[in-house]
Amino acid sequence: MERKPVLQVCRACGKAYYPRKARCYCGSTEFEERVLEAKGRIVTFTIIHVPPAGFQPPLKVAIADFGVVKILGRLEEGYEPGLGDQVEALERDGVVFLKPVS
Amino acid sequence: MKRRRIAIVGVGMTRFGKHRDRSLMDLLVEASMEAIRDSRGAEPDSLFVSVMASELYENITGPANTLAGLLGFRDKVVMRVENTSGSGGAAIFAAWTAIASGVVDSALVVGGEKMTHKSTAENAAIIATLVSDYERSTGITLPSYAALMARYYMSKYGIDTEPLAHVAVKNHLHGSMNPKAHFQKRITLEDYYNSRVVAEPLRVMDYTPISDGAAAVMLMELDKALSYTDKPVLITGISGATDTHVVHERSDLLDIMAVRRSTEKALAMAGRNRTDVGLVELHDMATILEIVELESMGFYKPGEGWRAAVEGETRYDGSFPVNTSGGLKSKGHPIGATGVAQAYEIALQLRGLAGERQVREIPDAAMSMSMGGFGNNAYTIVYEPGW
Repeated sequence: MERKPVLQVCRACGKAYYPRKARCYCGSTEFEERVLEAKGRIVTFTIIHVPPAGFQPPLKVAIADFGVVKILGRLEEGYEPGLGDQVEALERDGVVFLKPVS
Repeated sequence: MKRRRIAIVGVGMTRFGKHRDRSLMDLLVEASMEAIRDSRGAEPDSLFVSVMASELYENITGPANTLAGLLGFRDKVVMRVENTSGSGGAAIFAAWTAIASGVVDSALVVGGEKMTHKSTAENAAIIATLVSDYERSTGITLPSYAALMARYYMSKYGIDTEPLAHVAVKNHLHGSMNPKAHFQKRITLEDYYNSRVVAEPLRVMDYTPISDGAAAVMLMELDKALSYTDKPVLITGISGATDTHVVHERSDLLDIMAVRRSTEKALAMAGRNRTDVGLVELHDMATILEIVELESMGFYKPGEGWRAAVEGETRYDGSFPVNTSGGLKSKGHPIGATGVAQAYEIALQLRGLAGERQVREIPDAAMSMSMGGFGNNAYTIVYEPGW
């Protein structure tokens, strides 16, 4: 089951987080939740040929910038990523997958 | 209030590498005994031990107390200090502040790790315990973070992997002249490109090996230090700083705040400028980190750090030597030992005892930067000749 990630947004300074924190860098502990609807762009990626136990090579991971937040996520095996690719974030079993927007 | 002046009076280190039949304790004892001998038999008031994961590697808790027992220490202040891969720098900080406070007058700082009896996959799993649960669930590890950083740097500044290869070649050249380094073999650009890709764009030759080893330094309040050495190496600045724990929270992946701020604070404490610093040991877990850390420390402008090794500036005989020990890349990285081994190298260099790899001119000041995790928490130290 896939769903859009839920960000934790600081009510005092507006900074958004994924995953969650106990306290914002501004010191506030007042947060609200916001579903990440925006599309992002891949800023860097790697294809790991020697992944840790429990993962199959080649394992693809990337960081995408969604404007309000950057998120590290996995890429699906069939996707050949490029820098600047437009992606959407979908969470599955607690892991964000970054999927190309067609 | 006048601050006490604190100096390294003696140093010790095992060879880094594969010590098949030796335990963590064997290695910690060897480095400790060498540092005590080098300090003319000084009996320290306190013992600070940096070990990251003896629980996971050898099923040992309380390694500081075990070591104190083996060394015949009684009635001393003894503790373990842990800051993942920056444990060594943190232990020196703890010892320095204890002496500066006046509670103790001297401290033996010993760091070590025993890793090579575990497979590469087991080591990766142990080291991966230091990232957040979310990051770990994606399969990311510290080496693959270095790959993400390398691709970002390369695309931002329009370079390929050749400058990374030059860092590897340079640090292996240094390691080839260090009898205590894990790898004492020069490599060529061709060897670099022939090595296997681990996490694109980085290869085996971009990364530190898995090593066993230990290193030790004896710290003392300066008035006392002069009874135990003719060449005390002063620690005139020391500070720590953090960056975000979750790496993708950073506004700029290429500006490691822990490195930048700990450098600025340590220099301010020492009353020194970057132009006074003529020797640096830093945390090149991967080649790209040597480049990005030199920029975050402020020695090179953003986007300029890659030129340093290409142009030979950071060679032992260059204008700004970096990682003359061979760095983590060639000397090895027994995790708890690494920050202490940086202090060992700088003491050797400032005393003019570094042999073949001796820098051409003894600088007014030298620095080490000991980094935990992927820039989570760094301790940076300024050293000066004290004679």
